[in-house]
Amino acid sequence: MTFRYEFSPLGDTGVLINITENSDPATSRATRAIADFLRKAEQFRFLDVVPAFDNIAVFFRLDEVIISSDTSFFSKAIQDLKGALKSLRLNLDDEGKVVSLPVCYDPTFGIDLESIAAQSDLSINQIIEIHSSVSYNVGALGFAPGFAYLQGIDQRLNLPRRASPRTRVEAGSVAIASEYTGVYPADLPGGWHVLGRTPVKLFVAGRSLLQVGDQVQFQPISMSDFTKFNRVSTKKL
Amino acid sequence: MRKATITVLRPGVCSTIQDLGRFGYQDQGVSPSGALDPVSLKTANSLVGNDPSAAAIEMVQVGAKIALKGGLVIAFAGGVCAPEISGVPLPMLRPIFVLVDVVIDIGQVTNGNVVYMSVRGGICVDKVFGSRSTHLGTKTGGLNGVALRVGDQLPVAVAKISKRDLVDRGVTFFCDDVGTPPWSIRPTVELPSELTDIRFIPSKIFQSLEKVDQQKFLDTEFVLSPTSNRMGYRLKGNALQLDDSANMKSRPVCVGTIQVPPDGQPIVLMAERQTTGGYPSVGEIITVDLFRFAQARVGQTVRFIPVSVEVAQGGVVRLEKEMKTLFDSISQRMSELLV
Repeated sequence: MTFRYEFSPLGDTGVLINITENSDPATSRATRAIADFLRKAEQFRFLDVVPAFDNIAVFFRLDEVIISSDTSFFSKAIQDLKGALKSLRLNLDDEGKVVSLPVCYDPTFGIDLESIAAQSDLSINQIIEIHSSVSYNVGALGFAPGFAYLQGIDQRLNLPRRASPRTRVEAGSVAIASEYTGVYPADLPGGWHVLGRTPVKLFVAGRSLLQVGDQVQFQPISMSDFTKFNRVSTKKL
Repeated sequence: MRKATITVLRPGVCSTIQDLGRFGYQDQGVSPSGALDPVSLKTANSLVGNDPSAAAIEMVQVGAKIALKGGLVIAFAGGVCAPEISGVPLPMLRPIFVLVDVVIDIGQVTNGNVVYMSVRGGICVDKVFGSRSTHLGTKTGGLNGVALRVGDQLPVAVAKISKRDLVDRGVTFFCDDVGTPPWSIRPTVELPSELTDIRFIPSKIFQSLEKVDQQKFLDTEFVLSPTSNRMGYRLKGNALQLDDSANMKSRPVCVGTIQVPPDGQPIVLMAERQTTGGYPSVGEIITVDLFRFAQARVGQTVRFIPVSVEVAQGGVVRLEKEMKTLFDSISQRMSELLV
């Protein structure tokens, strides 16, 4: 397993690490494993470590930045990071989980199904079939607590964002835009096309259900199952 | 100290409870939020003997009118305002001892953009993920996750304060039961003037632009737009066209990141930024200029000056040293006043 990194400043108290070369086809699992390593590394005590696709941002505490006032903090930080990452031996076998998210594609929830059908030249049934048959990769979290960017959307469902975003999209809404699909974890403004809703909570007790490197599959369920359903099934990769 | 509440009689334009923000959860998509101008927040806290990270009331553009309880020590730092009690204007940048129930009217911020009112003991709302900061976008923290409203009651702690002792120690009382010591500190944040130079660390994207485009950006005098808010300050100026500005993959951002969306008008990410952003960035405002930038008023202009990360970090080191020296000396004076 080999990786190559490029380092650049992210402001004056952060570093952006770009994984430029990754011999593991599952980039996200490696990004997540490297981020987890850096977050736990005692030599650094980072304020935050944020993985996203092929980037990881690390944020230093201010008292760490001011300690080394004689030498360039940034060059020292790069050296320390390079050293730590060089000796890193990743075990990617147990990274990530497979999550099966139940989704009700009923048109009362899937408020954009008709417009997606018009734009993609597919029937609503085809849209549901295509959307729920793919295993998506969680590439990054962002936008809101518990919002995951899911990669792997079928090209036929790759549509630009809505021309005007909504001021409110209901929590649990499952949506698509350009090369991603995702689930709104709370009532939020949004510009993605909504095709259904999940009863599952995406952000609980300060943690996102979906983490970088997980795989997600959508499981169509009926409206009556939607109202009864309160569990998500997960299994280890 | 005893529990009490202070009541919001008039909220102002956008008043929220803020501390230094919540960290450790950005990888879960949780925005740090926190004070727009952390230096002024820490200054206001120091002036009432609080920990720098105590929660205070942040007020943007127009301040609140609040019913205070006797037994409080408060202070103001940041944008210029003249808080009044019974028509008497009070000074900023020194502790104010409030011995009886009074109404304070903070009024307009006449220079700068945001002012902090600290209360000794802090604003005691519950912490959410380790912080009392309000994040309006996700309704997290503060008081019910929203800006202050008429009738809101903010939990504080009151103490028995002896007027006699304070008078002996040099505090002058006016309005009978509101007093201040004869000393105050100099402002800790230089408020922006009509045209202000703001230093930034240029990104790889900026460095790869044609020199003529780089220069065009650096020569532009950007005007702060009224659509600015705690999530981002929007700037109007010469449009900078970047390749792929509609299609970049989301990447982690930091406070002060200067994004350029497809319309070419920059957005500087501020306290309530999302943890990742999909627009390309020309760089990040350096920490020591970010507090000044947060104090820019709508209609003021800024120009960007590129500097190295070494210069930026040198600034951080100097600022921290200066603040430590100042806060140590305030702490000394406060311990003489409130034995």
